[in-house]
Amino acid sequence: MSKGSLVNPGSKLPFRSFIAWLAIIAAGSTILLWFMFGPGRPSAAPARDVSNLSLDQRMIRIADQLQCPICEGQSVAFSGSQLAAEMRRTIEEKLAAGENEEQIIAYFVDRYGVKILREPPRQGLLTWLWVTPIAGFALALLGLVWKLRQMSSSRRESQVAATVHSNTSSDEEDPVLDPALQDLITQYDRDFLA
Amino acid sequence: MPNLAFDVVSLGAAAIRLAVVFAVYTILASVLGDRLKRPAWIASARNALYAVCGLVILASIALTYAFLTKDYSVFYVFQNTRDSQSLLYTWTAFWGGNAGSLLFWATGLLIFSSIAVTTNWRSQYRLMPYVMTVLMIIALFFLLLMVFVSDPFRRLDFVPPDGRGLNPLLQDPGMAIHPPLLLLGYMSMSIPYAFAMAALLSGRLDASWIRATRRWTLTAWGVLSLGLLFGAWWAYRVLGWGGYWGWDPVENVALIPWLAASAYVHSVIVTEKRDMLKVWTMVLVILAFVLAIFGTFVVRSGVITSVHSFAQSAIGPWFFSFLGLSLILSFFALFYRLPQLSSRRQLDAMVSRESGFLFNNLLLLGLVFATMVGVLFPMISELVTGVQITVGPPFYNQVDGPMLLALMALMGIGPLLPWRRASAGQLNRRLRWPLAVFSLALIVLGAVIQDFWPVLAFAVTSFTGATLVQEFAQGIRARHALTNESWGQAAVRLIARARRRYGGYLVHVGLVLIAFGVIGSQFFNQERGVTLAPGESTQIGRYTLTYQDLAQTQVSSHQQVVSARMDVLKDGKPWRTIEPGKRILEGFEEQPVSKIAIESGLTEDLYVVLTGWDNNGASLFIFINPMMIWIWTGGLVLILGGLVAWWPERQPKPERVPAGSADKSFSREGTAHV
Repeated sequence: MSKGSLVNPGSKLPFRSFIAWLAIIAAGSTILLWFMFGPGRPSAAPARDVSNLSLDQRMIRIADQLQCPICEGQSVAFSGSQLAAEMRRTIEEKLAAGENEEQIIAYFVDRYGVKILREPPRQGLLTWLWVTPIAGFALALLGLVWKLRQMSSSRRESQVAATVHSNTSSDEEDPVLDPALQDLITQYDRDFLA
Repeated sequence: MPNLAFDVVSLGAAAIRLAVVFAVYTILASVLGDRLKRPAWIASARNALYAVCGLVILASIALTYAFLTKDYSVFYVFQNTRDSQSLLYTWTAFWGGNAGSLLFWATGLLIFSSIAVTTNWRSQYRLMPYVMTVLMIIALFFLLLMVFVSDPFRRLDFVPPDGRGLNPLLQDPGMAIHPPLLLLGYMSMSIPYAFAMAALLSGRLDASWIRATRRWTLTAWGVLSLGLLFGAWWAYRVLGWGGYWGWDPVENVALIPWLAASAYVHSVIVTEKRDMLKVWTMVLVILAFVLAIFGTFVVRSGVITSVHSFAQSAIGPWFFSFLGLSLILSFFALFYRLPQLSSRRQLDAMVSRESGFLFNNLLLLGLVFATMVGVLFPMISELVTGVQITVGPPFYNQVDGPMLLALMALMGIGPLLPWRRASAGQLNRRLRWPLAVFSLALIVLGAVIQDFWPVLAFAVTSFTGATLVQEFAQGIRARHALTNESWGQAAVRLIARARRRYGGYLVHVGLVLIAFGVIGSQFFNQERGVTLAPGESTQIGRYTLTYQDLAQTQVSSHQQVVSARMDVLKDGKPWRTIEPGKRILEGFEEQPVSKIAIESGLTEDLYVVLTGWDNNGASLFIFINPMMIWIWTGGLVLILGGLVAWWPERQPKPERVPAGSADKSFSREGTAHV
């Protein structure tokens, strides 16, 4: 640990790398949002080429998007209930009859309502299901970053004395120990002996 | 009328009613004793608290007795056991339903309260009246519920010849232990909450309430963790849909308080070590408690399944009012004391251990919020538009998933950040090896798997794993160099000397292992549903399964097992014979429970469920669940780490202070708030 970086408030690097981190986070969330709302978003069952899947794999793909109406928290695909078994058979029959995935799902939504879908459609009020947590998190993130910047910049003006004062003994360099070790001992001391 | 006779059940019912009286007395005596400065009244309140504890224990014994003697005149006993139910599940039927769970909650709360009050009586004497008041208000709520809404001792007008029995799904070792652990975890959050509220109400806002409750918080957190792990284990072994976590509302409301408690466990470190974030820590402890009550409430009222069940359940409005009141009163008290809670210290830098903890809190609360939205949205949607919807795993995978991943990354970075301020040199030195591991994992896995999310997730988890290895290695090396201890000794002593830190790291190691397991099983599982005639084979992954025949065995006079015998080839070579089946319990012939064949290995589980059979053959679900054993191992490590962090530190011997030197004995914490 170099003493200079502790005392010198003008050390810009951590701040700059923080900005870099922020940029990465921002880029990450953009990619995420694009994944979720953009075209070709991956849903529960990633869009693969359906044509080379066997009949029962296609059946499971569809059934896994449907919630078993009588058993809590299980999909139709792997629920042991009688009803789910019948629904699986229905899907197979419909697939055999040449219907496609959308048609079959629409058929079940028609019969049971939107409730049958494990992933609610993103339309109308239901969009808020996605928007609320993401917007809430983004707001909280912005608020925290803003607050941190405010706190640390107000600190910067008055902190030099305090910093020097509070690090009296632990920063003495021992040339025998390598920097990583020194670093660790410093932290160790501060955590447990202070 | 059996009620008139003196018997154990009536004794239990009477004990609960008497406990109400004593609880009210405890509250009055504590408050008045403190206001009017009568120490004797406060001591008397403590004795009353012990009395409530004794009475509730008595009630629990009475209920247990009713179960063991199979007294079906008691409605609750009638509902949850039957003659053919085994002894173990007759015991566990205690918490199989509503009323018993409430009694269990109350008993646990009173026992914990008594311990907390006794052990902190001297050191936290000034807080005690308020601690007792808050705890007794919570206890009173549960006692009143048992008296007026859900009485475990309610009698039937007649004595049925046999009981209904416990749902066979719940007759499993995992389920025997999972609910009480969750309830215990929920309930233990009351202790830190009561101390925090006592600090707020009394205005003694130094950090001593935190030190008094640190281990209680860890207890609550650890027990909830254990409860969640057992729940996952049970779901995996019994439910037979191939998974262990379904993002079911009931699972979610168990996860939510755990997340809040995790946030609290972290922020409390900052408050304790740096005397910062006091308000925030208070908010978190309140939140964790309220969410724990919310968890109990949802599990016990069925409010989430549908709005209509909320109105039907008599318990719903009670819980709702209690929840609202505790939220309002807690935040009112917090607001009232706000001026006294301002921290002298401020944050020094954007990148520091402190800010790392804050981002940890942000992510954990983000997860709480997102999961809460997912749990509550069906209800909101039904109320607002009348449309019933299901919020299933896809929502949580997409919203919670990335946040969990970010949390995993932060778990690697955070502990490497020094307190106060990080310098670029430090960051570079500490992060270079883990970042190298990250890049390597990204490149290697990217070349092999070629799928964005699992590669990123594995790489991030490897990064965090590498930081942990580095932390342990450096610590051991430093100790070895400084003390000349052998490597093994240095490792053990390192952990033993700084239990909180290395216990915490062990918990992180556990979470890394769990994460590997979750990512592996989430992205690389294979599944098939097949119907096989005898002699017919099917293939999945490296396995070839051949169905031989159906076997029927009478395990006991009350239990029958039907199983399909299957020979398994692995990579074309004979491997094992498995027998997936169904257990059929007497009284529940329509509700057979899966006896799943699980063949666990280091890299994957073969998981076979028999779903049905007829003359044509057997229907099966076959899964390959990769890396499952990592989850369970990680769970063990996590609990071990929690225990290490929880284990009491050696107390320094108290020194005699010479008379007249009182002014020198101020501790840092004692003066910090002045």
